Amino acid sequence: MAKDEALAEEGVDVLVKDITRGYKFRPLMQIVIVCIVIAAMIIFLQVIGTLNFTKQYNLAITTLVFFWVLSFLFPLILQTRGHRANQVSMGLYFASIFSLTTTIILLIVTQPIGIAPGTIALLIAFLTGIGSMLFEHLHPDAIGRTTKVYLGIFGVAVVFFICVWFYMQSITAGYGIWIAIVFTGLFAYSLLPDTPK
Amino acid sequence: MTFGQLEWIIPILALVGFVIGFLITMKQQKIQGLSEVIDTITTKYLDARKFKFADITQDLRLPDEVAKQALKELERRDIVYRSKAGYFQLNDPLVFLSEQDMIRAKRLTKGDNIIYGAYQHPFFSHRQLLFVYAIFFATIIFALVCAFVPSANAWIVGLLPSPAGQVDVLIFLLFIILVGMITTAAIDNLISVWSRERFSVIIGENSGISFDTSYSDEFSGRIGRGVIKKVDINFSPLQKFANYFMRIPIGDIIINSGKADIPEEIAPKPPAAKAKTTKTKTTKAAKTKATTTAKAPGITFKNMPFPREMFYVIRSLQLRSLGWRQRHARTLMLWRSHGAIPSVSF
Repeated sequence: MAKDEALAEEGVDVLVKDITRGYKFRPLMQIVIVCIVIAAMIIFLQVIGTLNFTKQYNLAITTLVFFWVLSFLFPLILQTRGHRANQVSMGLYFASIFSLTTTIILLIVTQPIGIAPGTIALLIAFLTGIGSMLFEHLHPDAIGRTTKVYLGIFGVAVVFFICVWFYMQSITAGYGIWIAIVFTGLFAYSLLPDTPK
Repeated sequence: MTFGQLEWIIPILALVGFVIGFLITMKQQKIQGLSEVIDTITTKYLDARKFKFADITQDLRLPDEVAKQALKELERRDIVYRSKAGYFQLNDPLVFLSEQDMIRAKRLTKGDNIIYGAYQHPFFSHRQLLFVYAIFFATIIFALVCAFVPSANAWIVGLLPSPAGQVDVLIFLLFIILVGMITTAAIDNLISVWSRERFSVIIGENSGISFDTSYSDEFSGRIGRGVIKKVDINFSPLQKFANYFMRIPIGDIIINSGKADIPEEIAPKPPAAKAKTTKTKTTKAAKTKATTTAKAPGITFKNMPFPREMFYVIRSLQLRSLGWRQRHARTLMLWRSHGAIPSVSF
């Protein structure tokens, strides 16, 4: 009984792994591929010279490349779904968002000249959009047809719409709202769960 | 203060972010009694048999509250379905159809026990659909050109509200890339929905294989279980490669039957025509496929989710024995309880 309970509560991941075993790389191989990707990334950064951290921007570029490439490839390579994988996945999500947000904020605060007010709105729209897309990419199982998910999508779509509208008004006043509606529609539709209803 | 002086904050905050993300998902929700409830359902109520909550508590020696929580969790994960009359019913572990399509399947097979149901994705291997991604790559190229080519940079600065510094340009270009990304994702969603609507395949215990052949079709394609002569599974090199990286594994299922109600538009070409076409092909997979289709009339279900499981189901049906399915029902249910609903996407 205790074994069964353990199987149901913890071993679900093992069984999940079992049923897709015939189709996927073995877990060890998946980890090896992740290591190869990291090594390739380091070699690439070395070749383009960004591993020399005495130069300005190099540390920022290295951090951004490392976390964004890894968070993009992680769910594709590591197909073993389990609690630990979810934890790493969520960790990568936060790391990517934090690194990007910090970089952009630093770029703004260290600007010798001021920044256009609309740009701040566009920045919020961009971070909302990229954050939602990355979350969907890293946690596709979390995007189900639930009220919570729909409310979440509605919330981010509203923020996205207001920011894009505000920015577009400064570029093309007449069509700003229409462009914002089209972009927001595409954005919301791309976030909607693609599982069957 | 310059960017270089504060740059070290970026990796530190990224690591802090990683730790936060890792820790907030630390707690794993444990559901007591799940194993016992699954055991009872798979042994007693597998083949579309209805049951009440009282039946479960009667069979189990669990407190009512624990059993209720476990059933609620199974219902939340679409493993069991509760009717308006209050009866529970197991959603078969290998049925990946939506609730609406499942009702349709039940209606059209006169309440048959559906043992496999999924959506094929015939467009997956169409190379021209990869152009959907061209939109995304085009925006990246556009952004790079505007960032690094002086004349293009000057043009984009002219478009932006003044004064536009390099940070304004950078954020605008990042937004353009995001627009490319969301357009690609939206089209990808649309293609998934489009193909799903058309190409459902179900396997009933008595009705055999039924499948949609056109838009708004009602399973007009049928292969009776008695006419299945041969069933085969085939993974093309592309499918095999994609399966390593896609969430839902796919493959082709080839069925040869003596007599099948297959509409002309998707019926296979005559053997002679097939043989002529395949003369120019050199790959082993292409030759194997040609050989299979040339021997007898048949149909290929393209890019079926979990093809190996579908193959086993059809073999079970062919052999008039659902033993394989019953043996593995518990495993499949536990796996399904992980929330895996296949929807093939690019």
